Amino acid sequence: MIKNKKKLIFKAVVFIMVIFLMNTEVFSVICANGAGGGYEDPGGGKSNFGSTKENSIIESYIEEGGGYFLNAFSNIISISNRVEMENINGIDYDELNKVVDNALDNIRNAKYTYSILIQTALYTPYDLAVISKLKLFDYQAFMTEYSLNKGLLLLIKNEVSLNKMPALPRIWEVNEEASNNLTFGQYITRVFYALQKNR
Amino acid sequence: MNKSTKKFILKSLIFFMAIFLLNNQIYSYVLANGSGQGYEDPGDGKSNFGSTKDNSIIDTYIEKGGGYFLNSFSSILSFSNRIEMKNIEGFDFEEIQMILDSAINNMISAKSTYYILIQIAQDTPYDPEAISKLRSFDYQSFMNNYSLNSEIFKEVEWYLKNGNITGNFIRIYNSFIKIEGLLLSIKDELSLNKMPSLSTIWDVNEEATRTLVFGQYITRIFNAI
Repeated sequence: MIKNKKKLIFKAVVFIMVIFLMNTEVFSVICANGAGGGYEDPGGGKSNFGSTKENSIIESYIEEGGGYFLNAFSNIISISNRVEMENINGIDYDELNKVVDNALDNIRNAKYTYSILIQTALYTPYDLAVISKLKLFDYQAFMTEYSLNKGLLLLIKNEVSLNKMPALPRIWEVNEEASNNLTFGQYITRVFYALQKNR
Repeated sequence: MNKSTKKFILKSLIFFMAIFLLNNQIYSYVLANGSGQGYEDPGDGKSNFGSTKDNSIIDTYIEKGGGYFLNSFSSILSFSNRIEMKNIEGFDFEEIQMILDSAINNMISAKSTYYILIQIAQDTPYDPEAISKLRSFDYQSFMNNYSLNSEIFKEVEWYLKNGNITGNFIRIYNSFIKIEGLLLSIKDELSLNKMPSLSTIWDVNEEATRTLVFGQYITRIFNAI
């Protein structure tokens, strides 16, 4: 009887743990997340790889930078929507100016966060266990690729602030660059996620 | 009226016309726009190709469908932002459900608009001039000049080079159906106050991104020809 009870309690604990792990994002999320697991812990020089909690300063910066970037991209798509619907809904330049300003603020914040991230990453040794798994992964190249071209948004802002429709090729370029960045960052997350799962 | 006044008026008129043309997008915009010019006008069977105004029912549906899609994509990115920032800012299930509902509703509207667009396009003859330009267009150089994504561009090229403009709309429509399905499965998880699965969110983002770039390449090509 006691043995049966113990077994039942053990099963219940295992069940709850499984549910907990299924619902907790062991490892996040969208833009380049998980890449922080590729570095040793800046505090104690310990490996973070496979940790079940969001584990390093690097990971926090990745989250913050990714959050800003996603907001900026959402604003950029809103700008495109206003341009697309111009013939049907007309254009409210005051509103469009606000959306462009938001996109710029968010992209500036993303860039600033990523500049701190790069400094932190440069001074943090790689986790050799992860690097041996990734082999050819070039994180520095990713950092360079990731930054969105703020100049394009500034050109759009200049036009919109004169109540002028922004030039279409610029809108296309911004959209394509943001799309590339999102896909690029997400593929990194997918790779780290797969490494984590196969560990 | 003396000669110099006439000259001045003429110059002013030319100046205003130039400003007007610079400020009016002769030809639009972001998602698959301009491809309406590949069809004859459903009303009088006249060619739309090279017209300086947004001129056909088809273009209107393209704009409307594109607008709904872009609204939906903007909500999808806001949704992704909330997921990305959940450790920093916490997670408001009610707010995120509202964002998701907006993404779903806009995607449903985009899908319905594209459904009607495809029906109209299928019943409208192609403009032979536009089709011939699409067949002879130098896709390879265009792709290289603008450093476009070759995988997506080749797909667009395949449809347009074969004179199958409607095929592009069907391809976009199928993407809308896929995105809607993914969004609905996220909604199911959220309605149980459960975090949606990451791979579904990645799939939605990638499909929406691909659709945006696909549609934009069509616009780029029609703009170029």
